[in-house]
Amino acid sequence: MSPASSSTGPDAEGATGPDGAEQERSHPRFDLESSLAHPVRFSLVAALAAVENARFGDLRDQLQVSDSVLSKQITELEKAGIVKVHKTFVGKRPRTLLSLTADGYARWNRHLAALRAIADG
Amino acid sequence: MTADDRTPSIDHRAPDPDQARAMLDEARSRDRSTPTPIPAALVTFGMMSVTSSLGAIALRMAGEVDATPGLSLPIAVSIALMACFAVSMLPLFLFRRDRWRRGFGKRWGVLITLWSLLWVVTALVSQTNAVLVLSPLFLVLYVIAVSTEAHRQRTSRGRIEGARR
Repeated sequence: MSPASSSTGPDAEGATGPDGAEQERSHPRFDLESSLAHPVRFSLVAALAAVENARFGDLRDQLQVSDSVLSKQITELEKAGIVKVHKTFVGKRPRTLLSLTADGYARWNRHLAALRAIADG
Repeated sequence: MTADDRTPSIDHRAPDPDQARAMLDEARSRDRSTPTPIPAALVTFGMMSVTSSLGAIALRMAGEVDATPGLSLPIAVSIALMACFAVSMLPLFLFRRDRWRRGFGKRWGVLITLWSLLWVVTALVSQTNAVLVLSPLFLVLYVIAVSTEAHRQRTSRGRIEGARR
């Protein structure tokens, strides 16, 4: 494993020597959001980034995943502070609305910028 | 603990350029699959704007017509306007599962506030020639609303595509 690849992300220390550290941090991979590495979470946030909010059922159908898979990934994103969950009732039926937090939206944009930088080489 | 025992490095998760392009394509397709670039609320707003614009002139003209026994034209026009506004609301309520593009909630609030203020002023001066100036402002408001949404949609896609264009 190379010294650079032993880094654990933006907060890692000692991955490179003091002289190379700053240059190493400037690589776009350090702007990638680790919470979005999972493909379902990436698609979920991509879908939510375009809209004010979305219903759980609509997202499940759009992403073509099961309730349990979607629920698990939403919990992860909620813990990371990227997604906000609103549970309401319409009559006796529960309704779950999902939206991105302001911080989540900013992190999503940084993630996209990093991907663009990587794609451009 | 050795370096190899640590949390897997971000380098192992970092995508290569091809994977990054695939992810950007995925993000773009999700953005494009947003089903309602023109939300039903904007259709409602368009109908309300046109109704208000014509209604303002109708109210002004109603005041000019000679009184007819048993019929108050300004009241008749006002009732007709209320009916038109009620019909305008239909798309908003019939498409309750409509998904709004990000930020439209705030913009919708601003639009309705501006429309309400404009309508109150119009109603107050409806018997003066000032309505001839106020009437087109409803249409201007709608043009601004539609243009803003079209611009937002373009910039949203541009944000994802970015350097790829």
